[in-house]
Formats: sequence, structure tokens, C-alpha cells
Amino acid sequence: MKKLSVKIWILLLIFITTTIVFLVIFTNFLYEGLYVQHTEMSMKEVAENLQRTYDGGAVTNAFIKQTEDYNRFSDVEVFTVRNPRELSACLPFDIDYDTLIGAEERAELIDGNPITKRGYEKRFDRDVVSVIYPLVDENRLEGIIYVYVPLTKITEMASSDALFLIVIVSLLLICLAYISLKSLQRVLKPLAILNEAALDMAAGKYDTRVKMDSQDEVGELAKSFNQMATSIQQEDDKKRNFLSVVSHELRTPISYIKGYGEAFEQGLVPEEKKAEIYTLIVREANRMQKLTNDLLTVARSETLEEVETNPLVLAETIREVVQLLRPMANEKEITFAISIDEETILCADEQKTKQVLINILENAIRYSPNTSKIAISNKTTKKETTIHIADEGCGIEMEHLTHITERFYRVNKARSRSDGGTGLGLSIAAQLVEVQNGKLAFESEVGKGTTVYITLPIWEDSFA
Amino acid sequence: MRKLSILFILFLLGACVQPSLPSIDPSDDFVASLNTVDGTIDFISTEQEVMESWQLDATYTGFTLVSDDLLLLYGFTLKEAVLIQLSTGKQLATLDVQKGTTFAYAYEENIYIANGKENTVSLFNNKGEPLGQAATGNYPMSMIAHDGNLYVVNFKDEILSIFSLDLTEKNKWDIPNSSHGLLVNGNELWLGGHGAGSSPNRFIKRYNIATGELLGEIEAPMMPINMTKAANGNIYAVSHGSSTVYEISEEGEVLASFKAGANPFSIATFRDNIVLSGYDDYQLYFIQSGKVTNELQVGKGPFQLVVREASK
Repeated sequence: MKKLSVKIWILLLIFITTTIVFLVIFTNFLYEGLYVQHTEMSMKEVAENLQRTYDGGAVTNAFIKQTEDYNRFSDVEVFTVRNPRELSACLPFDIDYDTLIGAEERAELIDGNPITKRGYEKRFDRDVVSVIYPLVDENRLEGIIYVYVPLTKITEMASSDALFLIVIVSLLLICLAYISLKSLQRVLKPLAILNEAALDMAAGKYDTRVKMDSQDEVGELAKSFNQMATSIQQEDDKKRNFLSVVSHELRTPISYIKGYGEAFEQGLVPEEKKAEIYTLIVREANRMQKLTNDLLTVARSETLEEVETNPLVLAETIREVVQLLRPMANEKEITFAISIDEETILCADEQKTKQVLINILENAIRYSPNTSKIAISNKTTKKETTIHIADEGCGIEMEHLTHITERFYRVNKARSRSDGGTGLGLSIAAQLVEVQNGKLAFESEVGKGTTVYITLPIWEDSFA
Repeated sequence: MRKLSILFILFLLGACVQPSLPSIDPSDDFVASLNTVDGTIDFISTEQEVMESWQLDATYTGFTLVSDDLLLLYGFTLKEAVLIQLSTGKQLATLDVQKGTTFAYAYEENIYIANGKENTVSLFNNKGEPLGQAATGNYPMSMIAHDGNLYVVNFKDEILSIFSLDLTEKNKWDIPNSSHGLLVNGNELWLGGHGAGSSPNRFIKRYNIATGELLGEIEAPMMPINMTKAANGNIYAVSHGSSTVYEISEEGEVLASFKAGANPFSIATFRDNIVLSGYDDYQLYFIQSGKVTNELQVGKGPFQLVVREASK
């Protein structure tokens, strides 16, 4: 398989060669078609003008002088010939003399026709374009007006100095080939570096980064690559972190259950403690169950792409959720202040919305002091409604606020298990809101409380 | 069957015989024009009309009357010159000349052939039999005989060779290059020419015919190359470079000049007319008393004129 650089290089070479060839042909065409034609036209004009001043009879010295004067100021060569010998008048006699015109040309000229010639002229020892106009008086060729321009043709150069031209063009091609190869290598070198980096990444070295100073597309690609590498590394870190947290979270209840189980097996538990230990075992088993359920939810919502939405009465939904959580709230004597617009209808999935509300409210109850109040209200705009859930808890510091929807993220690391959370609640809530095209936002002040804003689309009645 | 065979044999014989040209009545006077471009000879009567035209089968470049009934045709590229009987139009003999014949001159019973390739003059009798040959200068062409001498102008040389009538070299004179056109005027030999190189000749040179001494020059620009003596004794010269005819007295004084023809090469006296052939305009001009009295269209490229005045 050929390398991309070689392919581009060959393509470039073909382009360059084609361009040179095309230019040579095109220039020649222009020269032939336009320049020579134009020259011929202007020469004819000159000759015609001069011919018009001829009054017949022998060609006079004055006429010759007039032509010479014209020649002095003209950009074409022009002269008048009256020597009969030059005009092939002695043709039937075998005279050792190179005449300016031949027998056929003489006959044409006698008939009054001008002659245009293009080619090598022995007299001038070069290629010329020449125009000959006759000075005829009663069938007598008294003279001719000869106008010519040297034809330094490009093709002539090509034929006479073909070797020179070939050498020059070859050198030019070699130079261009070398320059294009070097520039291509220079341009494509970052791609090679990127390729190496990608291979390193594939091998698991997620800390690989590409150093690139260029600001072009390849530089952009390198930047994107670095961003991607950072993301992958972060994801990898998260995954490792997640796994260690999960194993840690699971290990604790398991070691509880295992320890009490072994104590039972060896008959080390006194009768009066048994009831308490059973309760402990059940509690730890519940915790494990909740944790695995949450993990399952997280896994499912990650792969969820579309949800089925239905009209959902918000006030009703909130009442049901609050009813569900009331025993938990009652333990801490927490009261709810609900102020929900009865007419707000969500465009959402019922189960998922309830799950979101449960997770948020559980958190609120968990971190609220006893006998505090949780206020639930909503504010509807044209297309969506925002549910405000405000507690009077300890509040969250600003630095933690952006991370609280990350899995197993805990504001207070020491409080890991005493509050009974799995560390996945907000993460699940955030995912479920997102799949329903909603937004989840937090506002908090330490010591005063936290407000959660859940924004969800409302059902747009087509008849409204 | 026998009749058929005879007819067939006759047909074969007929095919072998050379086709004869139209005959010319021996009693008719004429001026004939050899037209080299289209290869024809036009015979013009005393009424100044074309009475007969010959289409030639070879590239003849010159002709001359050997006798009143014999016409010699020759060509520069031809190996043979031919003798044609005018009264029958039949070819009587061929002369074995080599390629390069530039001029032929008939004098009394002799035919002199100049060869510009071999640089020789050959002598034939009027039956076409070769009698002798002599070397000349470079490119012999114009010839004239007078008083037992044959004067030969070497066209590409600066020598005029003088031979006896049996081709014994007698003398050499210095003449200009590209000389052409000879005329005997009393004891003078007049010589015209084109001029050498790029400068055209403007003069007719007068030589003492016995000594070769240059007696003088007659200005007749440009390129006087042919002369004829008119009935009144004056000499008419044609200068083809300027298409001018000069009337010159026997003493060498130019009496008149006028333009006539287009590139005329040949001039001849035909009865009381001067006839001029225009090579470029294919016209014959009949001139009387310095004026063109008639023009006659002939074949293309009338190069040479020959006059027969048998009834004279």
C-alpha cells in the first residue's frame, strides 16, 4: 500500500507537469493565434497604406525614400524593391542570384494579389512573417513593398534549443519534485506523530499527548486529539474510581453479614443480642440491594437514548412522591410546603420523573436538620416548567456544587455511609432528567440550605 | 479475317508514328512566338492574327529557324533537339545534344548549339548530324556569326569567345558578366545584358567587331537584352527590366524610348513592324513609328520570337 504522502506527491507532480505542458502549448497557441495574426494584420495595413501612395509608372526614388522613412519609425521592417532581378524578372534566364520572390509569387503579384508568407527566409537568415504587396502598372510589376517581422517562435526555440529546454524543464521538475516532497513531509509529519500517539492510546497509555505548535488543520486535529485523550483519561480515571467505590461500598455490608454469620455459626452470639444482629444483617442486605438497584438504573439510563413521554399532571405526581417519602420525613419531623400549579402537565415519563423526584427529595430529607421544612413549588414558562425544591439543610460549598451529580461523589467524604445514601442518587437523577430533555441545576448557600431546579418540558396542547 | 489482321497491323504502325504538328503553309510569312510557360508556339500572320498554334510535348526553352521550312526546337533539360518541317509539321531529325542547351543559332548550312552545362558549342549540319565541338567559357549562350566568325557570349563569365565557323577558337574579349543579346551594326558588335549581381545593367556596349575595342555605351536602362534592326535602318532594343523599347540610330544615338509590354524579353522585325513579346502579360505588341499599333494575346510566357519572311 502506498503512503498518502507518496500519492499526494505523485498527484502534485502530475499537476505540475500538466501545467507546464499546458502552458507551453497555450503560450504557443497565443503566440501563433494572436500575436502572429495581429502582426500580419498590422503589416498588411502598412503595406496597403504605402501601396495607396503609388501612382503608377516606374517606382521613383521618392517612393523608396518614403518607405525608408516609414521603416525608420515603424516597428515592422518595410522596404520597397524595384530591382527587376530581385523580382525574378530574369527568371527564364539561368541567373546565379537569389531572388526575393519566386516565379509563382511573381505571377500572383502581377495579378495584383498580395502574398503572405510565414517561414524561413534565406535573405534574412531567419524565420519571418512577411507580407508582399505589388506595385503594378498595366500588368508590369514595377516593384514590391516588402514588409516583414522576424518570427522568433517559441516552437523554433524549442526545436533549435530543444536540449536546453528539456534540461531546463527537467531541472525545474526535479526542483519542484524535491520541494513538494519536502513540503509534503513537513506537512504530513504531524500526522505521523498523531498516528504514533493514537497507537500509544490504543495500547492503553492514556497520558499520551501530542505537542503541536501549528495553527492549521493538522494543529486543530492535534488539539482535538489531546482533548479526546484527556476525556478518555478522565473517563478511565472515573471508571477506576467507580469500581473501587463500588467494591468498597459492597465490601462493607458483606463483611458485616459475613462476620455476624460466622459468629452465628460458631455460636458466639448470646441469645439477647440475636434480635439486634438480625436487624443489622437485614439493614446491610437492604443497603446492598439498594446499591445494586441503583447501579442497574445507572447502567440502564446510560444506554437509554429515547424515552416514551406522556402527559403527566405535576401536582399529582408530587403528591404521590411526597406520600411515599412521608415516613422517612416523619422520622425527622420534617414538613413539606407544597405550592404546585394544579394545571401544569408535564411531557415526561412517569416512572423516571418519580425516580428523579424521589432521589432529590430523599437527599433533601437526608441532609436537612430535624423539624425543618422542605418547600416544593414550580414556575411555568411557555414551553417548560421548573420545579423548585428548597431545603433548609447545611448547604453545599461552591467547589462541590459542580461535582455533585458525579457518581459516588461525596461532599463530605467522612460521611460516606452514615447517611444511608449510595452516592448514585443525584447522578441517576441528572441522567434521567437529561434523557427527558430537561435540565438539573443546583443553588446552595452553606448553612442556609440548597435549592434544586428541575426543568422539564410541558405538554403542549395542540388545541391551546 | 485477313482484312482485320491488316487493319490491326496498320493500327500498330499508326501508333508508332510520331504525331505530326499542324503544317504551316510555306508561302505564308509569320512571326512565331515560343511561349515557355504553357509550352506552345503561336504562328502570327502578316494580318497580325494567330494563324496556327502548336502544343509542344516537351519543355522546349528556345527555337530558331534553320531554313525557311525547318524549325529547330531545343530545351535546357532535354537531351535531344528536334528539327521540324514546317510545311508538313513532321519531325525530320533529332540532334543529339546533351542536357543544358541554352541557345541555338543557324547560319548558312550550320547549326550551332551552346551548352551551359558542358560549356561547349557544338556544330551540326542541317540534317542534324554532328560536325564538331569546342570548349567555351562558363555558360555559353548568345551567338552571332559575321564575316567568317562566330561570336559566343559566355553568360556566367566575363569572356566573349570568337571561333571560326568550324569552331576553331580565334580570340577572346573581355565583356561584363550576364551579357546577353547580340547585334551586328556595320563594323560594330552591340552587346546587351542583365548586369551582374544585384545591380542591373543600363547599357548596350559597342565593340569594334574586328578588334574587340570598346567604342562606347548606349544608355538604355534597365537590362537591354534583345535588339533588332528595323526596315528603316534604326535599331530597336528592348530593356526587360523597365519594359522599355529604345529606338537607336545606327550611330548609337537614342532617338526615342517608350514603355511597352510587361517584362518583354524578345523583339523582332516583321516586315514594317517591330514585334515585342511581353513575358508577364502574354501579349505581342506591334510597333510602328514608335507607337504600339496592335496587341495580340498569345500563349503564356512568350519568351522568344522567330520571323520568317520567305516571300521577301
